[in-house]
Amino acid sequence: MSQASAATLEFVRQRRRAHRLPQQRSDRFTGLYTVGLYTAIGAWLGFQALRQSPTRGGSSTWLTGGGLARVATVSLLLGLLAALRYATWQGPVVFSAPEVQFLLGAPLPRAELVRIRLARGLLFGAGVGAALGLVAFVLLEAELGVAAWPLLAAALLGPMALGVLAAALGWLVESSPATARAVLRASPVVLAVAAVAWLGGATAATVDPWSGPWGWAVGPLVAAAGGHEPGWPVQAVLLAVIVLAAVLAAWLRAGRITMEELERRAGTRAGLGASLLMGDPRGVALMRHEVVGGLFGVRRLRLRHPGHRWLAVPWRDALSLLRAPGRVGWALVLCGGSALTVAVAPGRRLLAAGAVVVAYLGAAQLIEPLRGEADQPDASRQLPWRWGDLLLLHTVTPILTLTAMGLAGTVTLALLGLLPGPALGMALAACLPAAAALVWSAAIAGQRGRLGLDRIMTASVMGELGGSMYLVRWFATGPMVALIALLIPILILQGAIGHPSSSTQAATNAASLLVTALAVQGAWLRSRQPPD
Amino acid sequence: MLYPDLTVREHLELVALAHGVGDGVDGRVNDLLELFGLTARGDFLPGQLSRGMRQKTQLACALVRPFLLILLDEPVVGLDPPSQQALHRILLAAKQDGAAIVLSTHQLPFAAGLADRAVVLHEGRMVAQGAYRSVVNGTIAGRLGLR
Repeated sequence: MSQASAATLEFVRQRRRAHRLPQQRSDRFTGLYTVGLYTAIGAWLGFQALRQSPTRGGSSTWLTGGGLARVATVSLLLGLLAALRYATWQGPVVFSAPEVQFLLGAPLPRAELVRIRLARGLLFGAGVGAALGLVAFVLLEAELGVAAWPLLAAALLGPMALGVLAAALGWLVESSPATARAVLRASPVVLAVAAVAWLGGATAATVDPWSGPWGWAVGPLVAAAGGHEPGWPVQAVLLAVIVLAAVLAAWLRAGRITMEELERRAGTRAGLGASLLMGDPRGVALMRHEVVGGLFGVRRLRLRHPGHRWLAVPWRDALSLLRAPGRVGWALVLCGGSALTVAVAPGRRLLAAGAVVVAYLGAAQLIEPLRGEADQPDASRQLPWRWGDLLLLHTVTPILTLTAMGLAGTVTLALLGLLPGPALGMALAACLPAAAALVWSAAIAGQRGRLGLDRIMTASVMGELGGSMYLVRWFATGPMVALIALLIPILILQGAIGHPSSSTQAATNAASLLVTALAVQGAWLRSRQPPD
Repeated sequence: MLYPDLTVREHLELVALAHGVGDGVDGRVNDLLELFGLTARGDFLPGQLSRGMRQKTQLACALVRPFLLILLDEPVVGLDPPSQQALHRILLAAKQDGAAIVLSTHQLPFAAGLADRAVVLHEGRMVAQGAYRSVVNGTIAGRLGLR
C-alpha cells in the first residue's frame, strides 16, 4: 500500500477511534462472545441429541449412497447463484456514502482501498462457508458416527473454499455491468440445472468438468462420510485451483469500477439498512428492482390502446407485466407447482394449505402496479376513479393472466391424459374464480401500502406480545385470506374423489363457498379508502 | 407523483385514455411532448428524469385530458423558459376554448395576458382583488413591489 493511502487510512481510523465510546467496543465484544458461546453450546447440544436419537443411523445408507452428494451439490450451487445475484446490486465490496464522498473522492489509488474491502469480503465468504460446514459436520457426525477429523476437515474446507470463490466472483460481477447482466440472464438456466441435479441423482459429485466447483466441494465430504468417491483428491485440487484463479482475477481487477457505481451501491446500502431495520421487505425488493432495471434499461413497448376508458388501468397493468416478464414466470412456477401438488396429493390437508399459500405468493407477483399505487396514493389523483374502484381495476389484468395460465395448464394435463372428463370440466370452470380469489387476497394485503416507520412505532408501543402479533398479522393477512377463500372448497372437492355419487353435491358446496368468499373480498376491496 | 414502471409517454396515454380522450390520444400526447420538449424523453422512466423533467411530465398529464376548470399552484417553478412559454400558450388556448384557470404564482409576467382577474395575498390575508390590470397597476401592488 502506498504511503499516502496508509497515512490517510490511519488518520480515518484514529478519528473513528477517538469518537467511539468505550462502551461501544465492549458491547461489540459482548455481542460476538454471546453469539460464539450460544453457537458452540447449541452445536454441542444438537450433536448430543442427534447422537442419542433412537432413529440414529436410519439415513446413513441414503446419505452415503448419493443423497448427501445430491443435497449438498444443489445447496451449494443455489448458494453460489444467490451470492452472484446479490452482487448484481450490492456485493462483497460496498462502501458507505461518506467513504465514497471523502475517501474515494481523494487522490488515492482506488484499487488499494477496494482491496481492503475485498479482503474482508473474502474472509466473510470463508466465514459463512465455515459456519455452514460446521452445521453439516454436526448433522453428519451425529448421524453417521464416522471418523470425526477427516469429516470436520472436509465439511469446513469445501464450503469455505466455495465461500471465498463466491466473494471473488461476486466482485467480478460487481465491477462489470455486462457480467451482472449475464448472471441475471443465466439464473433460470442455473435453476434448471439445479432441478435436474436434484431429480437426476448424485451424478454431480464427480470430477466431470460440468459438475463445477459446487460439485468438487462436495466430493471430499462424501468420501469422508463413507461414500464411494475415489476422485475426491482431484476434485479438491481443481477446487483449490479455481478459487486461487478467481481470487487473483478479483485482486487484479480491484480498481476497475466507477465512482458512480460505488456511489449508487452506497446509496442502496443505506436504504437497504433502513428497510431491514423497519422490517420492510418491499422496500428491499424495490431497491433491488431499481438497480436491476438500470442494468437492463427500459424495454420499449407499444400496446394497442383499449376502446373503453374503463380498460385504461388494465392496459397500463399489461404494459407493466410485459416490462417485467420475470413476474409472470414466477407466478407460473409458483401457481403451477401448487395446482400440481393439490392434484397429485389429494387428502393431505397440510400440503393443500401450503399449496394455497405458495399460489398466493405467485398471484402476489402479478399485482405490482396495485402495490405501486398504494405506495403513493397521490398519483391516482390524475385518474377519474374512487380508490376502491381503482383497486378492482388493477386486479383485472392479474386475474386474466392467472386464468389464462390455469386454462393452459389444465388443457395440457388433459392432453397428457392426466385429467379425466368430469375433473377436466370442473378444473376449467374453477380457473377464473380461483384466480380471482388469489389475486384479490393479494390485493387485500397489497392495498395497505408499505410497512413504514409509523406502523413499526405502533407495534413497538404494543408490548412484546402485542407488537409481535401486530407484525405477524401484517404479514399473515394475505395468506390467511387466501386460505379462508380456497382451502375449504379444495378440501371438499378432494373429499369427493372416489365417491362419484357425492361429487355433484361437493362441487355445488365448494362453488357456493368460493362465490361467497369472492363476494366478500370484492365488496371489501371496493369499500377501501387510500392509505394515509 | 409519477408511477415508477411507466414511461413519460405512457403516463400521458394513461391519463388521456382514463378520461375518455379516445382516438385522438396519440396526436394529443405527441403535441404535449413536443411543447414541453419531452419528445426525446418519451421512453424514459421517471427514475431516469431530472426534477424539472418530472415536473413537466406532471404538468403534461394535467393538460392532456379535457378540462373545464384547472387549478395550478406555482406551475412555472422549476420550468425552463421555453417550457414556461409553452405552458402559457396551452393555457391561453384552453381559456379561449372556455376553460376556467385558477393559478397561484409569484411570477406576474407569466400571468400577464392570461389572467382576467387577480387576487393579492399578503401575510395570509387578501389585500387586493379585481380586474388583473387594475390590481397590478394599483397602489397596493406598487407598495408590495409587485410591478
